This record gives sequence, C-alpha cells and structure tokens, in this order.
Amino acid sequence: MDILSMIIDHRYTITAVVLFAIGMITMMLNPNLIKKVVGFNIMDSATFLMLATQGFIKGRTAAILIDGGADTTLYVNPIPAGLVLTGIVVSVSVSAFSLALIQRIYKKYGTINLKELLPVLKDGE
Amino acid sequence: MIQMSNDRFDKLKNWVDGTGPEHKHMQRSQQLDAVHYDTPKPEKTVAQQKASFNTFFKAYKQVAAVLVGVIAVFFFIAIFSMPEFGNPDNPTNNEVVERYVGSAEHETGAENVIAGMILNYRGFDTFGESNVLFIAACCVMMLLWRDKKCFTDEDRIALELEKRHEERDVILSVIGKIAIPVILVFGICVLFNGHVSPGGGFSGGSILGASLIIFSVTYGSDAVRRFMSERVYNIIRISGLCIYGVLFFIYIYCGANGIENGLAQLLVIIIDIAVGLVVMSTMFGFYAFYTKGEL
Repeated sequence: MDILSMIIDHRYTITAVVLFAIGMITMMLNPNLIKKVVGFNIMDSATFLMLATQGFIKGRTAAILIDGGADTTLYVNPIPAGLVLTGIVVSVSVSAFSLALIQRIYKKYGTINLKELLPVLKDGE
Repeated sequence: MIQMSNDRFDKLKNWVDGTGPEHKHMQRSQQLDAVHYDTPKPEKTVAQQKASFNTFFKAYKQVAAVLVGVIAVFFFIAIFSMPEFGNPDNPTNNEVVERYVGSAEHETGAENVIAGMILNYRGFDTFGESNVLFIAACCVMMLLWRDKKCFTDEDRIALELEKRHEERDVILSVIGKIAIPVILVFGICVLFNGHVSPGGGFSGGSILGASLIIFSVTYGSDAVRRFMSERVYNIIRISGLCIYGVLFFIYIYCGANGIENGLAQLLVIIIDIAVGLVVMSTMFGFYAFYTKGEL
C-alpha cells in the first residue's frame, strides 16, 4: 500500500524514466540511423518531462504575473521552463544536424542500416 | 690526389646509399628481419569480416541492454528518494524563484516571468541558444547545399521532370490563401506580446517559420524567392543575431539593473523580435534545405 501510494505520487517521474529507457535502448540497439535519431528525441522528451515536473507546485498557476508579483505564492517555479526551452533548442539543432548527415550518408553509400554500413566503412572507403 | 679523393667520395656515397660491399651482410640481415617480422597478414575474406561483425553486434547488444537496465534501475531507486511531487517546500522552490517572481516586473518590465528571465537575467544563455540555432542552420546548409557531390545529374533531371509535371493543388491553394495570413498575424501577435502573455521569440518565430513553409508548399519555391532570396535570408539571420548581441552588450555595459523600467521593457521586446527572426529563418532554412537543397 505504501509503495502503491508512492508510485502514484511519483507517476510523472516514473513515466520520464521509462521513456528515457525506451529512448536509450532504441538509440543503442536499432541499426537504422533515423530510428536512432527518433530514440534520441524520445530521450530528450523524457528529460523535459522530468524538468517540468520538478517546477510544478500544487494549486498554483503559470508564472504570468497579474498582481505585479506581490504575492509570490501564486505562481509555479519559472526556472525549469527556461531550462526546458534551452533543451528544446539544442534537441532541434542536434536532430537537424544528424538528419542532414544521414541524408549525405544515404547519398554516398545507398543505405542507412548500420549493419550494412559498417563493413563498407571499414574498407577505407 | 684527385684519384684518392674520388675513391673516398665513392666510399662515402656508397656508405650513405648503403650499396657498398661492406654493407652486404647488413642488407642481408635486414632482409631476414623483413622476412621474419614484416610478413603481411593474410587478408580477411568477406565472410570472415561478416562473421566478426556479427559477433561484435551480438556482444554489443547484450552489453547495451545490460547497461540500459542498470541505468534504469539506478534511476528507479533514485525516484523513491526524491521529494514529494508538487510540494511548495521542495528544495527546488528556493529563494531564487521568489527573487525572480517578486522583482521580475519592475526590473525587466515583463509580466511573463519566463520571458523576463530568459531574455534579461539569463540573457547570455539565450544568446548561446540563438548561436546554436544559427550554427545548426549553417551546418545543414553546408551538408545539403546543391553542389557537385550532393546533387548529381540524375537528381537534376528528376527535379526538372517533377517541375514540368507539377500542378498547383486546388485544395491546397484555396486553404492556403485563407490560412497563411491568419497564421502570419498570429505569429506576429505571439512574437510582439511575448512579454505579457505566453509566447515570445521562440514560439513566435516557430509559427512565422511554419507560415513561410506553408507558403512555400502552396505557391512553390519561386514565389518565396521573390521576397526571400539567399541574400535576404542571410541578412535576416545575421541581423537578428547582431541586434541581440549589441543590445545585450550595451545593457550589461550600462550596469544591467540600473536602467529604467520602460527601457528594460523595450529591450525585452526588441531582443524577443531578434530571437524570433533567428528562429524563423532557421526553421524555414531547415525545410528548404531538406526538400530542395537551396532556398
């Protein structure tokens, strides 16, 4: 009973960890390069969920001031939102760069499967 | 005398070149060494290479699965020692938050604390983000620009054929005529009201970029090129970054917190617009380079 209530209390964090594991296992085990990028993005989403969860406070609203900030107990923590913004920008940039690299790899070698790609690359091509 | 010197010279030359009679045994030993130690290894056949890769992948799979499992277990253990969800007394809700929420409006002039925070208190961080986006757009440009390596003659012929058979989709053009102005106005609204409502440079810039992408899909890339050539595109990107850098440098140089409320609000709005320009051009650039390889 104690463990059950704990799981319900930490449901968002547990979801984040499960998503992180799914993304990481996709990134490491899938031989398709594009699916690796998808796994990387799932990992990113898990991190954002975790950060956003840390900033939430029960019964408070988003940090857009209506009374000039006189009562600081009305609003949630704004710092994780800013950090998530940074993370999203970096995630978008890295995804775009890696997808561009994959497109070039496909144009040169005709495949994006790592198992077919590695023996070709090892020949000193 | 001359004969002697010639002999000596020949000797020296032979010694340097290693071709004299006294070096024969050395050469022989070198040859022996070569035979003994530098025997070329037999080339691996394709089947052997494949087998070695297969064993590597098998081991790699197991190691990776174990690694991910261990990491997940550690995370799960860490979860149960974390503070309660949504509790105002959590260590994350400390005096920094009170400082930001309590004095954001009269220090930065932004009612949206997040906009005030990322553009004023943490302005260097956001400047770095803009640079990351800029550099990502540059990298995509370098990798996908239509040059000899990236764009072969077959690609060119395929593109020409596609252009010849291209017909404007009726549904797309009718919907686009209605939707594009609405999306543009909404994007500008989000961009300019970033300091008082949800939104700001990043979201407004993304919406503007989306409207440009829809325009490009509906009316073709020639229509976009009429008002956004490569030159204009580069000017927008670089000017956004330069406005941000110069304004923020002046702000820091003037003592940051010492300027008036109205000026600080103006600064937040202008920096928001600069970030929006960078994000918009980056989004549209990604689309254009992925689909066509040029603007």
